[in-house]
Amino acid sequence: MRKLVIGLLLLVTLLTGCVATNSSNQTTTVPTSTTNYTLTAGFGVLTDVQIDQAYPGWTGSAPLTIINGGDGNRSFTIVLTSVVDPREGYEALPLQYLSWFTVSEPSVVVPAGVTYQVPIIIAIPANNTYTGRNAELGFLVSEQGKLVQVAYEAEWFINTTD
Amino acid sequence: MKKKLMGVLLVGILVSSFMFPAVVGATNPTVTITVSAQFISITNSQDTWTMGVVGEGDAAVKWGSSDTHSQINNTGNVPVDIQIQGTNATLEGYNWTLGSAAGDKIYSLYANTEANPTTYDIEVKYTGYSNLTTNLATATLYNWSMEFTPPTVFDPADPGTDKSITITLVASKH
Repeated sequence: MRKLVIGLLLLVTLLTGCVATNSSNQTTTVPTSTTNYTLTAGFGVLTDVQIDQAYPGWTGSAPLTIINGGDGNRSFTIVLTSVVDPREGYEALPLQYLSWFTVSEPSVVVPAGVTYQVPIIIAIPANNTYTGRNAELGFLVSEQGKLVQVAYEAEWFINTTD
Repeated sequence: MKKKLMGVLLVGILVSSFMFPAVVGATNPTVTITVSAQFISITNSQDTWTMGVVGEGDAAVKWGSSDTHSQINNTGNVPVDIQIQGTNATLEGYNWTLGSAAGDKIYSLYANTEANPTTYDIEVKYTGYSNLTTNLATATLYNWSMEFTPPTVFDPADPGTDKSITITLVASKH
């Protein structure tokens, strides 16, 4: 009986801890519209991803979406970039903060006709002081293997808070 | 027995709350990630260029037989700006550097615009990007081409290796 009580106590303690931990790191992802991204040729990349209220200590992920047309499999590389000409109301995310973002799959092969999401992992350090800012960064998605290749710069925006 | 168990559970919850006071009481904001429905997409009709044999100091070689050899189509749902960038020509250690004018082991590459199809005045650079066109509307075609000038002097040790160049068109939302 005593073992049962101790076991229950431990279980409840752990469960409560897990629930509490999750509630401290809330993320709401607003999905894209129900638009069907169909491309017969070439490929596309969703741009304008907005991350609001990123606070010190927050970790999460957001999708970088690649839409491959129906004309063949494609190989891509994905590179984080600093923007040169940020949008009005934003500043280029300073270079030292680009390390907050990690491309989980820097090289991917996307089959024909498939929309693929590459998770971008975001981790704001707990001691971050770059708060109350609106910043822009980019992800360069390049198709590989051609003499004249096409690349897209997807623009991402982040709003930091205390 | 049931009462005893309930009591144990309550105690457990209370103890947990004390063990994680900062977490339970945290007031961190909810991070919102909004993925828009805007997508960038272009197609470019020509993606290869077999130049053939070029000699030291040869005149510029055009890409294809016309000054509007390739055609870009904005197939996305936003207007785009398009920039261009090139690489050095390399193979087996015999490199040609991409420069603004042909020279000793230096080649040059220029692009034209649809507005001035016979004037190749957009320098394709190795470092940095050059604007090819801006604000290209959706479902709009754009003609362009390139002109290549080989080095005036080759590496004497170069046995005549093939060279490989990569040209990148970078599209971004206008």
